[in-house]
Amino acid sequence: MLLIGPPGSGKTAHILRALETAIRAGRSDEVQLLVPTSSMRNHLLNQLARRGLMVPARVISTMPEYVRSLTPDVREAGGVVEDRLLSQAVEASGQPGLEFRSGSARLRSRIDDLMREFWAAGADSYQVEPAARTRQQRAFVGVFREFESSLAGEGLAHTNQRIALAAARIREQGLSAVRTVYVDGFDIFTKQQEELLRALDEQSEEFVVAMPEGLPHYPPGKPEHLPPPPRDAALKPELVEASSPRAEVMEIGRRILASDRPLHQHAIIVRSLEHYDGLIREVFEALGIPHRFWSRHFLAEHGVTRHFLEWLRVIESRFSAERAIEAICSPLSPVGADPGIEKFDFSVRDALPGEGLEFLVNSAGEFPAIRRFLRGLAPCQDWHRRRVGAKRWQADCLELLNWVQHLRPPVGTESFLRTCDWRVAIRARQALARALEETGDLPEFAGRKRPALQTFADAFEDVLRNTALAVPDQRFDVVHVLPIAESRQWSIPVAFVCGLAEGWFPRSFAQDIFFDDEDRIQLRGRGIDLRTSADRAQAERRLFEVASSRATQQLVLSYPLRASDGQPQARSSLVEDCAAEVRRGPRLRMGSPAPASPSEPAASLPRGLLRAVAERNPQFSVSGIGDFRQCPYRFFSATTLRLQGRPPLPGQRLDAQALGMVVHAAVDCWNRDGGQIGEILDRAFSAKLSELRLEETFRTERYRLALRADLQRFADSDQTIQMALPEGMQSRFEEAAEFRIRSLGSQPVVKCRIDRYDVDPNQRCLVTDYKYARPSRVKELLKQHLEGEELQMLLYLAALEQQLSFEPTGMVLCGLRGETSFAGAAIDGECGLQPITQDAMRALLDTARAEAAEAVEEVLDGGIAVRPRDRDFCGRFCEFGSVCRVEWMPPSDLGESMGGTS
Amino acid sequence: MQLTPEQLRAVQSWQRGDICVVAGPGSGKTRVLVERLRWLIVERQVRPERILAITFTEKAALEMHSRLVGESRPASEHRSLFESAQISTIDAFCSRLLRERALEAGVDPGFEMLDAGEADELLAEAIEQALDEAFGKSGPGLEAFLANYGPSAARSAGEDASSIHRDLADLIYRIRSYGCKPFTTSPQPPLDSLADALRSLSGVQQSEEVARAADEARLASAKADASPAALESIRVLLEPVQRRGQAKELVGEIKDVLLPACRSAAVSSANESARKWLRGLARRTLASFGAAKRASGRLDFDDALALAADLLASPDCPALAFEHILIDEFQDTNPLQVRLVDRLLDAHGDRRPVRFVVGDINQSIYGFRHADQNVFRRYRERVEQLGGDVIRLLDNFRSRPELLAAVHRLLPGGDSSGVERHRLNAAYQFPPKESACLEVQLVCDAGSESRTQEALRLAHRLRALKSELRVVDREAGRGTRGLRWGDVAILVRTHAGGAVIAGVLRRQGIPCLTSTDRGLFHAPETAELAAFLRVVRNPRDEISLAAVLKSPFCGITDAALLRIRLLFENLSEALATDSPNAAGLDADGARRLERFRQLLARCRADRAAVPPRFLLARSVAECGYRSFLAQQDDSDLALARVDQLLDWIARKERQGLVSLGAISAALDRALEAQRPEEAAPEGADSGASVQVLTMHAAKGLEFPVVVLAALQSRPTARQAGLLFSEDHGIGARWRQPFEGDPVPDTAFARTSADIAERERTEAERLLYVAMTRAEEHLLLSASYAGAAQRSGWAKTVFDGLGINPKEAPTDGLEERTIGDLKFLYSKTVGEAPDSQPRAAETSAAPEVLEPLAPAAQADYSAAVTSVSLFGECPRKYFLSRYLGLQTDDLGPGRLDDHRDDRGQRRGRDDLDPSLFGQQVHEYLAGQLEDPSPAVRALAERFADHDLGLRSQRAGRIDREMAFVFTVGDYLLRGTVDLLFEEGGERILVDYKTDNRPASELEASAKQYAAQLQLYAAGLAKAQTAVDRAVVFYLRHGAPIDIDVGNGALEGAKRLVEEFFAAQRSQAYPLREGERCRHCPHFKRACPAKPDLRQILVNPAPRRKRP
Ligand code: SF4
Repeated sequence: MLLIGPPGSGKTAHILRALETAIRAGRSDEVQLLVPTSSMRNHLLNQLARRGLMVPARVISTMPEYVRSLTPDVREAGGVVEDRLLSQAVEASGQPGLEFRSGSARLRSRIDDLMREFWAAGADSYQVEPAARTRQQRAFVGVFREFESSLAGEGLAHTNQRIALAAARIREQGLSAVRTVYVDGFDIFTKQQEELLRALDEQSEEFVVAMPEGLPHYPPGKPEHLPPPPRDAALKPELVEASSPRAEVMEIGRRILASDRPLHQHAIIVRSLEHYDGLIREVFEALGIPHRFWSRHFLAEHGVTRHFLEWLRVIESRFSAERAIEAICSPLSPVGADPGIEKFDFSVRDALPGEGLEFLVNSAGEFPAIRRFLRGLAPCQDWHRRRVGAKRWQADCLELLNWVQHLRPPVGTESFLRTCDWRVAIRARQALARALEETGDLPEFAGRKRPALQTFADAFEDVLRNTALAVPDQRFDVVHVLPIAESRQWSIPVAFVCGLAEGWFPRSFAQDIFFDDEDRIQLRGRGIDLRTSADRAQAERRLFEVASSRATQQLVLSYPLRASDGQPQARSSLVEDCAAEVRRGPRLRMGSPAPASPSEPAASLPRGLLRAVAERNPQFSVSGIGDFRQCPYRFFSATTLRLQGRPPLPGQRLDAQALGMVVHAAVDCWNRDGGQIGEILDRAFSAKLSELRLEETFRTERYRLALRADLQRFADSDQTIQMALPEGMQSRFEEAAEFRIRSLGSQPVVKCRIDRYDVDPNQRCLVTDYKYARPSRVKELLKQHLEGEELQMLLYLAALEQQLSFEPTGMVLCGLRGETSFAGAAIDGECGLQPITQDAMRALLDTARAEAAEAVEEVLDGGIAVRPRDRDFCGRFCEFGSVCRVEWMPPSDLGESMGGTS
Repeated sequence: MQLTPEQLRAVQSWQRGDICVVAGPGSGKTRVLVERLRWLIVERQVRPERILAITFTEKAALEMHSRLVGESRPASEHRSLFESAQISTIDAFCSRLLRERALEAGVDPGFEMLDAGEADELLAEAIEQALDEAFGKSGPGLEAFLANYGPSAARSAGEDASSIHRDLADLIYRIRSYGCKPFTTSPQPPLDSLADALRSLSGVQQSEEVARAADEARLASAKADASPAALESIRVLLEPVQRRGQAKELVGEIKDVLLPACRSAAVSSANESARKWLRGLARRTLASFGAAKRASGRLDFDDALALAADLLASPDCPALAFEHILIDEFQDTNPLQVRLVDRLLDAHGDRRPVRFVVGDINQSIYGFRHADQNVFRRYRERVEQLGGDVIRLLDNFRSRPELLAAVHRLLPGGDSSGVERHRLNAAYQFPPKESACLEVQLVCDAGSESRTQEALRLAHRLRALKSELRVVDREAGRGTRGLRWGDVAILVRTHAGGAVIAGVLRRQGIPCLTSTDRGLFHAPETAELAAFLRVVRNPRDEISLAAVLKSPFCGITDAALLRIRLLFENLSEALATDSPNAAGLDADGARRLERFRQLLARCRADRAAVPPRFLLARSVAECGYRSFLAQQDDSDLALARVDQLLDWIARKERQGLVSLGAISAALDRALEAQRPEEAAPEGADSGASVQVLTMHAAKGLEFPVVVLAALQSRPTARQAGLLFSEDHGIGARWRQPFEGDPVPDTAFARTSADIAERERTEAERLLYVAMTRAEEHLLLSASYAGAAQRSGWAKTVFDGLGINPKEAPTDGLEERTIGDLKFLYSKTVGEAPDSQPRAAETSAAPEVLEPLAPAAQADYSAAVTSVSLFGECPRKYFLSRYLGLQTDDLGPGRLDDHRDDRGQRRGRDDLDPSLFGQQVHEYLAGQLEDPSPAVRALAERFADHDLGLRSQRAGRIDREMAFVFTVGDYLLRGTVDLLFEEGGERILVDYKTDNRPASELEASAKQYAAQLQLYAAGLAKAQTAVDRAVVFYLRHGAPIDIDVGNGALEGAKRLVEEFFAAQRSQAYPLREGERCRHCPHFKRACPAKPDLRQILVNPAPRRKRP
């Protein structure tokens, strides 16, 4: 008999009633229900059990299980084996037109899909061959044939063959005790499945197939139509428009949170999981809504798997340090919780670039446990060139797995979420070990083959991709997230169907790359029935009917106006006929159980800490004072707290500061000893490179040449200033000097190092500072000095005056970047410098001293205000911007006018 | 509304070949396109799949589609036809084509599109690699390049060292947008012309220098040798020659044109080896960039275009059958796109489709993206020449006539102008209005914060306008209504300018939405979350840790930071100890630190198993970071950015960056690169806010009130170091052996001249586009730190409206007229009065979703064996079944397979006792055909036993019967080994293969009691109540009876309740006892410490009911 009715018309209920009657009457042996998926089977079994029965599990069976039970002797290829055979077939066939991408997994999956389509239509490669016209189609047929023959060669059957065989066996052996067979939950049958149904039909006393309307069906003949479900008059769908998929999911969350119903009475039905899978998890976890995905997860995606694969890659890369360090520091690693692991991480980072196990072991010098762990990896060092049998790889990899991965699951009473994560992680870890075995058993490795690690690892990854990861989640009171195929057998009070955007639902399908619609229509003429775009569009419509008939009380349809990447989206044409009024979801925002607050910015430290501040700053430097005057907080972070960031990576090491140091070193050396500045620079530069553990690259070479050119210009031009100096001047270079801040008693000392100063016999003194800066910057700096904004040179002069009783006469800033430039000022314009008066110089020095004293005082007084003198400085030169949180402060707090600088 | 005759002509033009529609702003061009589609489909019965409509943006495509479908609802018989109309951007069209023809095009069938940021990263890698490879193979080209390449005029090479990478990246993109290979021409220096000109000059200005220069030039031209040194000396000779008198123009020509051209040519040939090396480098970079993309199966937009174009030209190309191709905004297509369209037409052979092209030269503003407006110009000319249809839609339905008059006055157009001269006719009937629609605001002497001052004045003015202005109610179709904030758009030239204005507006309480806000990677939230990820990765990074500790993630004070620092060598160590309070923090600080310590510990432990995205999402919700953002000024934006970051991470995860380290590193790179493109997300609903947009973003939009702000500003584009054009090849600048700025080679000189010209004209068009966005009121505004200057657009405005910016400030708004154009004018100096922040006039606050408090949870079903295991010891159940753990660390030990319902029996290993047990069971159930002798031997123990014999006589027998039943609300699953009825007795048997001493059997059977009792309870439901239940120890051949009386069954049912209750509370107490010795978790995962001596003395461990 054929039961036909629209979704929700009670076909399944009808069958369940029949089963219940049979079980109650003790005739459970006589009935058999076949369904497509095991979750449907469990679901129906549970439904029956909830009617107070003890339900023998065999009453309901999935079609594949059933077929398997009839053909226990048949070896089926199964996902991975097929996958592997197929990729070999693609490679072996060497078909022109495919060769460019024989390794492409995506191409393989297209080929795979297409072959299955042909099989399902009852066609093998021989039948397809005459229909192949284009080069690509012929290439496909070549692969198809190759694949079929390799399956046969391995003595393997594909699912369709097995079904056909099962049908034959039913005809031979009959159905033993079973008298009535029900089939439910399918909407299309392959040719072989139809054959099976025919056999069941012949052998059973009663045979019932339930199917949706409007499809080619089996058995032919006159169906019994069930009327459409008596819809509750109130059950009109609501149509919700959201600005983005996330807003859409939040709106669903809002409705669930607001609902009086228990969580488990809600389901979200999703057509395009790839767009919603992560979002639902993300939003629901943030909202604390327990939910369960009824979709498949694959072992390859789990972190535990990735961690192990990463190790294989580390070994393949011969222990590239950058790769290895991630794996070593992972919490899954046995040393992941070692107290030294973080230090080790940074010491490797600091020592980069490097590779090889030895490099790592050396970096682990101070960490015995880590060293021991790494030493244990010594046998893997030659794996990248080793060739051994697959079984050996399997055993070794298992050993590796045990060595590199330790799971420490929670044992106390943890939050449910964490326990769930761990349950999955543990399953993954176990599945990983099994997957290794499975890889070792692959037919391609049979015999005396000795694959390389790479080959074995590739196969292993294929296995992982084909292995579903069981998620042991049977919580009761959860919101169910159902892929549309899964939702078929459900009926639930409140259902949300989301993602109703054109292209998502209905999903848009590109034409098949081998046989497009026109080809398919031609194939039909040859009796090979493949689906066309029109069929797919029809199927989408049917899926929508399924989805929108799951709800018994409330149905909410929704769509986003934009995709997550901001691309605008059109509303699905499927909802056009719902005649529902569109409602824009309200603006939502996620709250939190504990609203947090950042720390309040404080202008100064509490008094109790002042001693500590003094202890940490026993003396000051001129540049420190400069820092403080730029921003007290910067001084606090850099000097009082002495915050250390992470060690820079090789590419970041040659920064402006490092270049400045090279320049200074070279200039100093040249000033003292003379010689060829180019060569001096080269020496200083190489010294720096090796100090920073950098190799010469194009980039460093550009820097070297640039510095060289800059310094050459300097060397050429310095002569001129030398000449302008009066006779008898004595030059000194890189001298240390210091002065005391008297107002604060004898303690605070300010130290500095002066690039150069020149003293004449009358003790009149001129200081020079080299800056790796452009002419404009140097001019600007001088201006700032003369305005008392900048203190550096003035403090140098002050130090020389206090310490050596020199008479401050002038200052010169020498810019070395680009065009060499000099900017300076001296009393009465000596040496051709900008003139200032003696009094002005005095006044400047006095202010400088006073300001320095003030700065030191403020430091010692605990001043830590976030008060940048120059906001541009913050983003460009200060690394503490995230600590001071200057970005978060309203401009008024920073003493700025409105708007600030952009 | 009816179509105008011109519109109608465009809609119904039915000629073969090409049709060109020149559509001025506001001329109803989208309408025309939609109507034409409809007309083609309905009236001319063209099948929709035979029509291709190409739009400039995704949004425009969607809009056309929905108009076509939406407006046709009554005529629903056409709807499905309309639905299948192909309207898309050119990029979308190409990627669809490539997807369907992946094989023919030679691309991965599942290719993904790269976004700009990813492309940049790949390209940067390719460049680094190409440069380092080139560096490895030293040669004269490399040396010459290193020595002479000098992109920066400032002559400092310090930055050049890194800018070469950027220069190259720019270059590669330029080359690709032309879709051609880098090549070069060897220009001939115009030495003859120079010599001639100098000769003429020496005739006019008889000076020694000129004469010598002329000689030198002649000499050089005779030898056809233009050494840079010779040209330099000519230059020096000519330096004193002034541009005066009769020879003024000639001198100008020599100095500005001929001499530079010769120098460039000389530089070109002098640097030939370096240039050749550069070309090679560009080629290699292009190749490795392409290879990197191919390897990851990804394409960028240019690839898609180029590949699609190649596909269309190849013999493999599928037969296309478009009859009509409609293209919008043709003036903004780039050469690659144009080529694609040409190929598309060619691919049709003789059956070329009708090409219907819409464009407007005056609105061509995407030259910086290599769009070429000449394409449209040429097209139009060709159509004209061939006598095709050129239709001009110059009726403007958007703007008030006064505004159009202003546009004509300021941008009259003409030959040297970027704007073509065509007058727009005001075609919309506005209600008359007294006051002027055009307004000019000038802010002078406003100091360094002049932009802020300008914005403040704008805020005041907009408030006033909001209260006084009434605008046409276009939705209602008639009448007027008051102005809403959503009617106002402020257009700026650059992103930076917009951010300031938006900030001020918001502080002035005006709701404001902007595309010019700081993008994702410039936002403080992003920096903070990135710091959090770094800390989770490794907390020793003190700068990041301090940032996180001070942020809402923890929120401790600076004083606390110092206190920690005083005690620990590294801040992170405070988080490693269990008693952070040791640092002497106050109560609040200690509490905060402790909370954060837990959060961090959790994240660090979970970071391998939980993808970074969820880790971050959870943490952000858990610590209240979202709530903190919600209290900020720009909360919508800030929250949206967090979401945007999560999306960004999700995208990276899909690309295979899965570890936290990888994500964190990628994020750091993105932050460092500060990509500007990652535009700010859309925050609140746009209807209620003023929009601040760049002029480019305003393309295609219209607003009742438009403000053009910061008209004085000019974009400061980074000077390109390398240029490329199709005509001139790769160009660069080169250092000279003598002093002076680097000299451009010929290609660079010519290309940059072209670009400068394009930019000049494009600036005019940009102003044109911006002005024509306004419907009813247009406010032009400029601000100056000091006095006003006539420069840039401000000059256009001043000149056009006869304003003297140096005049005294006005007293408020003045009405002025020029010609018959009325406008309002104001000039203010200094700071705006009353700039106090105001409360926001926001729309309704968003609803806050409070997360659900964690609730107790239990499974809905369980295996009977689980319940029974639980009865034995809840902790053991938790570890072995619930978590699935077999040994404590899961490291060196081996894990048994575990299947929920029959976990004890499934395993795979041959040596595994559980596999052995399973085989025995299978054999006993008659499912194993060929057992090993050991299996057979054990099984026979049962067969030989009395029970076995009885079962053989049984009338009814069930083996290995899996079933489901309920106890209370719970589902239980189980498998009965054997159930038979014999002699009026129904007997339930469970086999055990345990290897226990006989003395322990009694005790051990107890632990299986619950299992059998539950089976019995289930069977009772099936009207098959059992009379006797037996645990059969196969190794001993010994049956042990289990009590299945009613009392016992009730006890077992209570156990089920307890079982699920324990799941709900996640509390699994230990049940220490002698059995611990057999437990795999003893002394490992389980903390049990039973006193075994005690137990041995007193060997009856008592089961405590929890
Ligand atoms: S970023 Fe600016 S405000 Fe923050 S510490 Fe550095 S200088 Fe001070």
